[in-house]
Amino acid sequence: LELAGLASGTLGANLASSQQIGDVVAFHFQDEEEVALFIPGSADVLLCDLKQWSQLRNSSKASVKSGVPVADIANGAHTHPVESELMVMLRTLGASIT
Amino acid sequence: MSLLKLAELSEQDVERELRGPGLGLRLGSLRCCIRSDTELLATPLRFLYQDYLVDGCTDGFFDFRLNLVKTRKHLWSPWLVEFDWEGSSPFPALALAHAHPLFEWGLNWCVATASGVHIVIHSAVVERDGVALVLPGEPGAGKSTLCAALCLSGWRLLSDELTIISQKDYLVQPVPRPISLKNKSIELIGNRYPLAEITDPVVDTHKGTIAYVRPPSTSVAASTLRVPVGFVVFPKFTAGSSLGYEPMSRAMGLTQLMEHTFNVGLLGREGFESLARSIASAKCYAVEYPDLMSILEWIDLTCRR
Repeated sequence: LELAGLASGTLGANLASSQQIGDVVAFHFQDEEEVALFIPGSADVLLCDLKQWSQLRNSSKASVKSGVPVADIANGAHTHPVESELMVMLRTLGASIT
Repeated sequence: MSLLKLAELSEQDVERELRGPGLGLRLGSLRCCIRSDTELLATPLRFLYQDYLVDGCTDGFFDFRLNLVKTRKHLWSPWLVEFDWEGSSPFPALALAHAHPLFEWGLNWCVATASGVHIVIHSAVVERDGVALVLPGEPGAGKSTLCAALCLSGWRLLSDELTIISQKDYLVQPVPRPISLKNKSIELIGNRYPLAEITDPVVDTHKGTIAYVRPPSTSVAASTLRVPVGFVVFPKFTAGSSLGYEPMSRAMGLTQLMEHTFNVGLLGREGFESLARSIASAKCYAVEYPDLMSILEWIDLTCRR
């Protein structure tokens, strides 16, 4: 998992990281196998493992190559159903919806 | 100028303030002005909030100005009580005898609403050794009973209902308030802790019989002292079971906590990340317990820094 957006502040420094693909925000705690996912638009919360998250990222990159504007994903824009695509991918990969 | 504690006012003084300009109370960092013509608030408020500092209500800023008003539809109808926060109320009018529980429920709602820039979790929260133990749970999980027992055993009460976490530094903001007990819990806590100061029960509310435990003076005195989250425990009461627990990853703890968070949907990515960072150094557990004694022992052994 790329360490984008390292935690700041007195607590959690260097212990955790977050990453966003499309509308899915992922949070990974150091030394853990699981990743917490959050979709701000729908307030859905999911849990997947690092392997699933990695697969999702790769699938998402493939999706970008197949025509989804990169800026739309980066900005979390809703001009393309990135969120639902990611949700379908997540479910397909077996992420558990809490 | 030093402020008075509510205990320094007589009950008549409290009633006069409630009927007049309002009774101003400091609840941690929040300021609240209360008015009421019900004649049913002075006694429980003076008993439960005796350690809280009193503000004059005639001027100055208050986070909320509340009014509990006696009302009835017709001359021949029974008296009811309405909760009003500057013209709005989330609650229907209740039987007049339920004025005090209505006040506490209404104040919970106000505190949650006024704390919207922070993360607000539906959860009891207590502190020991400088870290907070967060106890989220479904209704019936026993979190208020557990919270009362912990606070009567030396833990500091931060809140029995709302865990408020700053998005700036991820610390828990205390708002210690009376601890709500329901039905069998009232007798349970009364018997186990004979020195606990508990109000007379109010019967036939929509939650059953309700009584409130007076917050410990030390918790009220330390109500501006914020702490990081050290433990998140999801308790589940199951009669007839034996105590069992499971350590949880923080990722799992985070997703479960999100289910108990009122406003993270509104706070969006920033709120989610703040909540995550607030538990980055915490240990998370799910605990199923058959009785109060067993989980108290487990917490005492496990939730130590």
